[in-house]
Amino acid sequence: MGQEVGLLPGTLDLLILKAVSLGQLHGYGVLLRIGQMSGGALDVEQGALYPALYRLEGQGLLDTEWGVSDNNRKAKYYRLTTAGRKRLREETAGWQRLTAVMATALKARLEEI
Amino acid sequence: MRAIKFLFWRLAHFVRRSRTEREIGDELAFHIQSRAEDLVRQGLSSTDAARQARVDFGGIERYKEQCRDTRSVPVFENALRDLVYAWRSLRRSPILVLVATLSLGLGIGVNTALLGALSAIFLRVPTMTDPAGVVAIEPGNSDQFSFLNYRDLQDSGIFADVVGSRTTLLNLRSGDNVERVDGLAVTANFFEGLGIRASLGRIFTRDEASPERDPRLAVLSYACWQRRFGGDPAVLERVVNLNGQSFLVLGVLPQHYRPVTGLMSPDVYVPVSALVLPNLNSRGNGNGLAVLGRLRHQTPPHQVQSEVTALAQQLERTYPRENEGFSLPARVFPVRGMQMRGSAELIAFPVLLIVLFGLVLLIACSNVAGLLLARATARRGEFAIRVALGAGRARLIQSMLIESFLLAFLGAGAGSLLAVWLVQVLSVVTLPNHQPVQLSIQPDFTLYVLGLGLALASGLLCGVVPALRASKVGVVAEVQRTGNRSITGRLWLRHSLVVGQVAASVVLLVISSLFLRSLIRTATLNPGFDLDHGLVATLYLEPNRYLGDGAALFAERVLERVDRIPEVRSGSVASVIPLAGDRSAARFEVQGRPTATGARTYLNNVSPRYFDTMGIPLLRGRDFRPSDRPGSPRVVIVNEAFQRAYFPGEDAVGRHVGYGEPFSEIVGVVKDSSYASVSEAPTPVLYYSYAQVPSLSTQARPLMVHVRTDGDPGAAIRSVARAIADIDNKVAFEVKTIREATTFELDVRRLGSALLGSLGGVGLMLAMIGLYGVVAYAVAARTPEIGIRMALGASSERVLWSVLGQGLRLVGMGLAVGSVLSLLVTHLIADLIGGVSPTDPVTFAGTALVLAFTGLVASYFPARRATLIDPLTALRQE
Repeated sequence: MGQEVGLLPGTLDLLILKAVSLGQLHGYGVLLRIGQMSGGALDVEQGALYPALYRLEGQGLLDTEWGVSDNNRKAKYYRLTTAGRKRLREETAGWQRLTAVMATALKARLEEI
Repeated sequence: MRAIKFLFWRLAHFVRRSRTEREIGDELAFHIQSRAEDLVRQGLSSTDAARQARVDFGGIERYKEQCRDTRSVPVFENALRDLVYAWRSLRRSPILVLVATLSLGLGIGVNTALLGALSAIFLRVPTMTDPAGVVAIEPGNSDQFSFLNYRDLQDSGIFADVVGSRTTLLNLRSGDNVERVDGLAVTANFFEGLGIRASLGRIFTRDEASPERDPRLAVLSYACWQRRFGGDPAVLERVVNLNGQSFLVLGVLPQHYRPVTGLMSPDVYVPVSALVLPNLNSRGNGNGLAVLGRLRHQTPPHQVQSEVTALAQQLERTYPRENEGFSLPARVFPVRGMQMRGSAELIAFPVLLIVLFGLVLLIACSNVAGLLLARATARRGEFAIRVALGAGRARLIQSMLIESFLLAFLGAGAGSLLAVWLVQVLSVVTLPNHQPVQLSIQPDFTLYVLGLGLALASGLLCGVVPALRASKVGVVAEVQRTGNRSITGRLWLRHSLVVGQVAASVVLLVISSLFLRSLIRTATLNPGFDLDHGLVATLYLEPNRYLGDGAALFAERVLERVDRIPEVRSGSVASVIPLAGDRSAARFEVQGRPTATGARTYLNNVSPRYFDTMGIPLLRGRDFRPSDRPGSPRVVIVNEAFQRAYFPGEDAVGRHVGYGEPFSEIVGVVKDSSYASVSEAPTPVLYYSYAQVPSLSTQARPLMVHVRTDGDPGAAIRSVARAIADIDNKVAFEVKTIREATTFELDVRRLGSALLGSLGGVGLMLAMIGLYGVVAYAVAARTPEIGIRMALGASSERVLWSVLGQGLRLVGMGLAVGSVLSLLVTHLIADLIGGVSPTDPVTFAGTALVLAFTGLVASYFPARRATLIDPLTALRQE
């Protein structure tokens, strides 16, 4: 296990969208997927996932459906809507811009300013 | 009460909890279970795994709550919560609820009833198919279309169909019993053209009812069928006797049929023919029809208007005498509501009513607003705590508004009970007239919608200011504030509310007392004829039995017979009873003098001795004589106003007036007497000799027999009635004293005064409740201050006056504002308050006195309470 990092505000939503974009998932599955995607480096507070999921569903970015899980239980599955897909693209682009800018900014030395 | 609470609780749960709650629970449980299973796989014991999974998850309830918050519709849910809260907190203030319910109930109730009644009158659409495609048509000279002109209009093809109708009096005879009923003579195509069906039997068709076929067919109104025939279905195919002729009853109209005649609802519909309209084949205006046309598909109204005008012009060219003035632009208007014939007075009164009733509602609302303001001030501590706990300003406003809406709906509940009752009272009010006007209004859907709308408006009106005020609460200041309640600075808003209320009630009182004064003035005015020694019999003859001068001959026989009654001093005949709500006017000109087209004058066709009988003095010339018969030179008598208006400075006697050849010679001038209204300035009246105008006497108009008695006229009623029945027992008639017969105007005014008077009373009462509330509240707020004053030695008298002075100052300000407003308003209604000046000092002074007195009473009780304040207790409160 690598070093764990706390989440920046606003990043959880993006991570959820990304996770769900790779295929339909239930809540616990989203948690696991985020873990896999980050190589276990991201520390997501488990309970906090759900208000975020509900919020994204309320915004029409996620669709839900009750189904049966691998362990044969009733589970609620989340799927990305078209709006969700669009939002994911925008946020990803935004995030990449931000990280690039941040990286440049943090690398800056006095003579370059 | 418990049931309602339970309902709210259920509703809230139903809306939100049951499903979402279960889903959230299931989903989180699934997560924790899955996590626990993974942990077991990693080697933990199942108990440890379950515990660890929970710990990892974090505060379940907190997350559930957050999930819920994303889900619920907070506005609605908060509204429900606020409603329950408002209900609970209002239950603890029964006085507030009582005053608010009564105030708003009165305000909403009377306004709902008024608007309901007005919409029933003014927005009524007669029963017909596609009323939007039907227009009413009038020639430009405000006449109606005679039957021949109507035919030409129909044949012109301007309209897809044209129908006409004319009210006519019919004698409905069964056995020896004769009853006068209101008939409507309608053109043969009337029912088919308007698409009206019978609810029982059938209507008559265009072919069977044409005048050439001498149609003896009748359709009954539902009311007539119920009243006269006991609702017996066997009435169909029965023969009834109308005006002495046999008519076959074909059908009965639906119960809720709204007639084309507006509020006047005819009993019997018969086809237009010579049987019911004797001079059917004269082109002149004698038997004009009210005409409706069904527009051809997509013909714009303005085009119709010019087409009708063009036709009318052509009709005037062809028949210049009969159709004089037809060339003026024709009038085409929709059939909706009352057909306004430019009568400003007809509009003015309803508008006045709406404004005044609205004032009552405003006073009621400001009462409740005042109470809510006081309540909001008292609850500042509570609001501060809610703000401190995170309630937003919007949320506070919302909860306050919900409280006021709740009050408004309670008021609306009480108000709709009141409105339904008022409407029932109104719907049976009939104006005493030859044709009783019946405001048959049903408490229908419109009424409830109106009530609901008014409730919403008043909820907003009385809630919004207190809510905005209350929401501006300073948390720290409020929480720190403990005992000190010096809040006089905040009272200006309530004070202005009271000033406004008083001002509004001043306006109400001034207007209602002006009406009352006008009524009293009218009742005591001398109409110019003798009210104490007269009887008048109204006779409805069967026109076909009295053709030509038949009516005049009949009248002579009646007079002959009546003259033999010992109590009777003289008898005479007339066509109009003055002040009885009836009038007759016609164009005329002075021979040898060009007069403006359309100069009109009031008419009355009277027999010899009419002026004696009525006690109207003959000033110059002579009375009519028995020798003024058809064939002898035509003669007329005029009143002084006529002489002044048309022959100023000359003697009218000997001059000739009339409408074309042969002109009539003026043989006498009589003193002025009231004709249409007691309070009006004397207006010109032209008296024709009854015997010389047979064409007028054969119209479907009643014949009036006036009788002058020596003593009490009431004693002679029965002998006069017997005398008439002896001559013709098929005449429908009624005998009244002249005083009873001429009260029409007074009755109308009495009705108006009663209405406005009670309105003024209600407004005053509400305003005084408001004043009482404010003064009482001020006393409560000033308790510590008064306590200190009294501790320092102020006498209770001084305290009393200081509080009274506060109340009276508000009354005085309201009085000043209200008087100025009244002065602005009253001159607008000068026409409605005949005989009284709009600035009548008695009225204004009286209103001021009444207000000062009631203001004193309303302030006295709280002031008295102030004097009973015990200084020690008051200071301990501090």
